[in-house]
Amino acid sequence: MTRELERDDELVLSELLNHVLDKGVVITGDVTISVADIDLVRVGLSLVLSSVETMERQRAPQRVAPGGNEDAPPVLPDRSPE
Amino acid sequence: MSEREPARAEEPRVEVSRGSAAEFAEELRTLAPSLPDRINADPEHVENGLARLVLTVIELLRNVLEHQAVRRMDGGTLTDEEVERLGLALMRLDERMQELKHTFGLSDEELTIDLGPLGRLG
Amino acid sequence: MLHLYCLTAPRSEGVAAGVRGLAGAPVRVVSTGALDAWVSEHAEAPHPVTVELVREHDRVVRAALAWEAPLPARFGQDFPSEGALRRALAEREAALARALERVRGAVEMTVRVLLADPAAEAEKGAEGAREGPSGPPKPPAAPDDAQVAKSAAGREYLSRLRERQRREAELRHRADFLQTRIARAVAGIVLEEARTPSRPSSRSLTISHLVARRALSDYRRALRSFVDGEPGLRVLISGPWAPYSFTEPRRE
Repeated sequence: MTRELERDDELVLSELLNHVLDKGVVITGDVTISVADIDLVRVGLSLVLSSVETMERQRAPQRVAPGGNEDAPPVLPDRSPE
Repeated sequence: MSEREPARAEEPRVEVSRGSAAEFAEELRTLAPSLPDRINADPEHVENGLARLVLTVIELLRNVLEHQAVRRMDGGTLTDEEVERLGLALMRLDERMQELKHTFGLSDEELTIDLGPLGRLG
Repeated sequence: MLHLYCLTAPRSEGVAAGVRGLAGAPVRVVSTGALDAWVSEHAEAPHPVTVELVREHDRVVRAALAWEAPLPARFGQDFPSEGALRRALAEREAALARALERVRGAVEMTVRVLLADPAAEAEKGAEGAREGPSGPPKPPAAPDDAQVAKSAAGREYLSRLRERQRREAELRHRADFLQTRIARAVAGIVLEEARTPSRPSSRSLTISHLVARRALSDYRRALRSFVDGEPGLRVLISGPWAPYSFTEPRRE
């Protein structure tokens, strides 16, 4: 036998967060590394690019910004405690 | 065209087996850390993406090593001393990994990957 | 800054009209021809992420779902300009259009099952550290041969490892078994199933089902009937959701 939970029940909230925060299509830049047709690791491309840019910036002092701010990776939401 | 209330699909409902809500709540907490526990995705810590990738691969390998080690121990082809060294080495490796995870603020849940058919390691 | 809610079939402007998103911002549509992106404009990215913002995001997605199944976007995708959004979409347009077609007319239901048997767990709990070797005592400094011959910490560690692997294998087999039973129960009613990856030590199984909207009552009935026939089975059923778990392009 199952019972239905109230809208503001903690579990209902967790379900919502689990769907909206952990799933859903991601189009901001993705690299999937797979072996034998099996996806093993997905890396946020924007994060990886930033690391490379940081490294290059440290080697050569001039700015590396071919596309200006338009190519800046999307700002990630601050997930600090409320 | 008259003003109309935007249509909405029904709100998702959640039902659980009686008496299991608390356990599911805890399980969901480990599956997907709730809002306040989320790591602050500070743009300055962009290395996190790379660290997560690297640590995920290491954990994958470590899992395989641990399974192989247990198999070797059970297989009876190792001396007592070899078993002891193996265990100590893996124990130290585990310790290092916990430190690294802690350093990069990564939880085990974040290093979970689906191996598909390869997932059967046991 | 544009906050992305979901991708929908083209010509969704009429549906999006009047819909409000994060902080009450109006939702508007960015059309690429092959699909529409529902967005809202903000001075800066949502900060901090709150439950209310997540609710508002899902509410917009559901407004789209009332019309046609959208591809819900994961929360947190904010673009500095419409141009940046269009570029991101253009890169994957064909795959996204296929993904949209895949979920057309369907919703998502989520089923979770607790794997561990509470009675058995109570017994094992008495054995000590449930996580096994994950939190070991500080290993001694690299021992010399004489010390190794006398110490047993390494062997004990491997024994705990073995025990943990055995428990995990049991959990995994139980999960596989349940997955098969559930699949059988809803065969012919669901369009697709997707099992959420989890850690080997995870004590629950999560299956997402893609269900045609019109098959939803059949689905609920079949699932309930299955659950009622399994005494002691502890499940959680949630939905209907927009197809959050069925957005990744499948391998052709």
